[in-house]
Amino acid sequence: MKASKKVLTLFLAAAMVVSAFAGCSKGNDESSSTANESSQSSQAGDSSTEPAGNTGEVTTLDYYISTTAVSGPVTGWLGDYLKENGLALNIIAGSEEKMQAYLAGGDLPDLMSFNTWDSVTKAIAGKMLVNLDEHLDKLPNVTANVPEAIEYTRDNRSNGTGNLYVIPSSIGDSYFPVDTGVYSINVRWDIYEKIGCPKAETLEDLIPIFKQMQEAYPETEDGTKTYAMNLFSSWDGTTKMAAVNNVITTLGYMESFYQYFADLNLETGEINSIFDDDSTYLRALKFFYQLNQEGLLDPDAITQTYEAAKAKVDSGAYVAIGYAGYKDGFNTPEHVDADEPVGYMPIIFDEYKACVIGDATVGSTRNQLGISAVSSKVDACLQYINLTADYDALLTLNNGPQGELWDINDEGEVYATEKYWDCYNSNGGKLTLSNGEELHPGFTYEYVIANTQAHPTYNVPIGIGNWPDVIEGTQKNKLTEAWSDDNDGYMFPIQKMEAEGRVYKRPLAHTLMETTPDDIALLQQAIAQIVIQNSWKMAYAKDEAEFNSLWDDMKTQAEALDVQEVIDWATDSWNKGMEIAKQYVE
Amino acid sequence: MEESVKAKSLHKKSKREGYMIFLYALPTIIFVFIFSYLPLRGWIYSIYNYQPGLPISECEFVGMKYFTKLFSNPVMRMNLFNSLRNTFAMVGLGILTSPLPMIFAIFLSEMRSKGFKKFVQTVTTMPHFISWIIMYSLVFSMLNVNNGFVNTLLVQMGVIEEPVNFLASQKHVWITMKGYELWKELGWSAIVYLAAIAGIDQELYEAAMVDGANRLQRIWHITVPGMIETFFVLLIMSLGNFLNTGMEQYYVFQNAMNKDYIQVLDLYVYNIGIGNGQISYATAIGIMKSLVAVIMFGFVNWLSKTVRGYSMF
Repeated sequence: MKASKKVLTLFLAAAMVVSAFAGCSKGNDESSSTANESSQSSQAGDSSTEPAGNTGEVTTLDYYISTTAVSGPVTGWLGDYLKENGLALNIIAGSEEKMQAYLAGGDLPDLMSFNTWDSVTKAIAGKMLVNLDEHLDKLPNVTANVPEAIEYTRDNRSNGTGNLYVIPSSIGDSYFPVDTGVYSINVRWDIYEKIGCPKAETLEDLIPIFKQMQEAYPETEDGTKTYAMNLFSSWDGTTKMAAVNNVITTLGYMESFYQYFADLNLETGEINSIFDDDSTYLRALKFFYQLNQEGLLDPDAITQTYEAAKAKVDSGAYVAIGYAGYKDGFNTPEHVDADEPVGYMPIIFDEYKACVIGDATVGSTRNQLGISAVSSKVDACLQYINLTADYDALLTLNNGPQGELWDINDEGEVYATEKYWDCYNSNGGKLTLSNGEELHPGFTYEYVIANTQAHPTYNVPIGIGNWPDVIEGTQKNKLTEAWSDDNDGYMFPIQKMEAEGRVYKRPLAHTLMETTPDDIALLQQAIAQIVIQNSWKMAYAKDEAEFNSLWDDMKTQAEALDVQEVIDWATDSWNKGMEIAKQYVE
Repeated sequence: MEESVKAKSLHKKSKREGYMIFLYALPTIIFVFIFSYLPLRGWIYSIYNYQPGLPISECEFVGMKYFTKLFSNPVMRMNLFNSLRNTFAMVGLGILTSPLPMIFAIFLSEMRSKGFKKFVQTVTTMPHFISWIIMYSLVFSMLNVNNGFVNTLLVQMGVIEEPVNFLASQKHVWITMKGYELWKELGWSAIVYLAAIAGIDQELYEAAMVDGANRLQRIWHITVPGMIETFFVLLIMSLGNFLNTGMEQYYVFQNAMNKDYIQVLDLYVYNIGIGNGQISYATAIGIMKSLVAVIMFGFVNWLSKTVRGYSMF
């Protein structure tokens, strides 16, 4: 008995040691490729892309996407379409933290969609990526359709190696067919009309207007108190108070450049410290402060998440919304085409200059596609990348299977089908396929070519939402008519904005800035912590004296941390970006 | 002769027993070595400009650069100092509130209605299994200004005129944080004490009742002494974990208003290392944390030696 106890004890001890070691052992990364037999019939379109060597076997790829929040296998029509092409994707939802952990670990999933060029540089330095130059023969669509992006990436984003490690995404022209999207301040037009559509010259003139609107509409139907501007703090991250974009981007200043503690005026090209007493950054904070003094700033702004703020936007609880106030949630067909239409439309105050996304000639600053050096499925990864650079395949990837929501007529033109219009007219605008499946169930992926880029054969942007007849049919409604009556008869806001020369596209240099060196990043993060904190405190300051004292404190601390070093680096990097851009833009 | 043989066999036996005891301890030694000593080789990252994925031999050697950075600038020094101060405050409050689970367990055990006792125990234990993210959503829905039920209730009862933004306040951050933690963990922590109470001999209570002791006296003279040993064991264990406050709770509750008081060392290391990718710098801060822990440990050791005449070393 005693002996058996001893044996048991020793056995358990040994098991514990072994399991401890097993926990530390490096995982075997050779996840098997599943050879699913595709049995489901698919309604996918007749894309011209025929994968080389597709033998009916399906290869499953682990695909890390930094900009999606949904993990799991890609199913539904998209899953079927990919399966036809011999692919299946298992999505790994990304985040800044997860990215860092992957980079520190070294073993990346098969296919990577990075969050920043900085992460790409680190992955190249860590030899974690496949050199795509050795596989260009398997990327014919990429080499044919986006040659500038390849050249640019090889020359400027290879960590000095001169090789191609990633393919940028969303390459193409920017496109604003209706308005400037989030680069505007949108007001509840129905309430704005109720108070007599008062005109505003400056940003600050908006405050009394918002106040009048709030008084006219103090709470929503469900009793939620109304405020102006949908601020929230969950996008702040470690480098900036993201809410400032609400103001900066409507005054002609570049989005988020203040993360380097400088204002960048797109009209003049001037770069100035945000700590100057006449900076636009300070003006933005003052604007928030005044909103708060007037009882217009949502007291929950500092603690609520984007989702919470969005839910309020969707219920119309803000009389005005800015950056990140995606108005589609409230501007539903029922609202905008009601007998008395309600919804958000941009208020075009005299000073308003929209700083919008520019053409992504060499791709976006994120979602760069790379293949893990330890992947055993390099060919399948290449096949996926190549597929998302194929114009015909992109029609399906973006708009669903041909014959469902879109089709090609006898004249060889693409058009939105009856089904599409049915969805728009009777399904609350929700695009669903014949089998009831949603076209984009809560997520979309970034492909090599942007959906705003024109298809070379059909001469319309790839995404169905941007086709001229679709824009005319879906965007013109009673609300835009009401807006038009008050705005010199322009059909859409973009027409007025462009006619008056108020649209400023972000220069290509924006995507060409160098990776932030570690020393600067460390400094930037330390200063940002103070800036973010004090900026929010300033918005909620009790009085002018507290506001000024917080500003002085922020300035003093930032100067003590040598903020000028960050500003100088950013200015220099921007200027270099402008020089490089000349090679890629005529 | 016979005695020497006996002594030899005794010696042999005790030697064998020594080996046996060593073997019993071996798994723990290996465990501690793997999980507490091996990770220390990661300290080397603090003297290199570590690039994720690159072997350390290919990273640039920077010596004490990151340590100097920690102290070279008044703002950096203040950040570190604030994080240390917050950590000490949270730990201090933890020690101050450490008798609460014990008191709660006593109250629970004194309940007459078994059904109600089980109900209270379940309700107070459940939050332990909920993540801090969910807890934050719960707290936000209770305390937010616009339609949080606490504010709505207080306003409607006329206690306050304007809703209070509890979550975006820099007042009493440490206490509120401890409050949330107690809410989440009190029931769970009381389980050990309930077990201790169950272990107390019932005859003691009966004898006390015969002697005319009332309820409070029974608690004070029987229950409390019966649990005190458990309390001290747990207290000493928590002292061993002195600076490890964890970061999840503080991470979800942090905002611009309360950050000065909420950023504990673990959160500071996380924000810099994982949040910002400055792994080498974060390692340097981590080492500073260990250094402080060693100094603290030395102090407690000295204190124990002076006061009780007994110490670890």
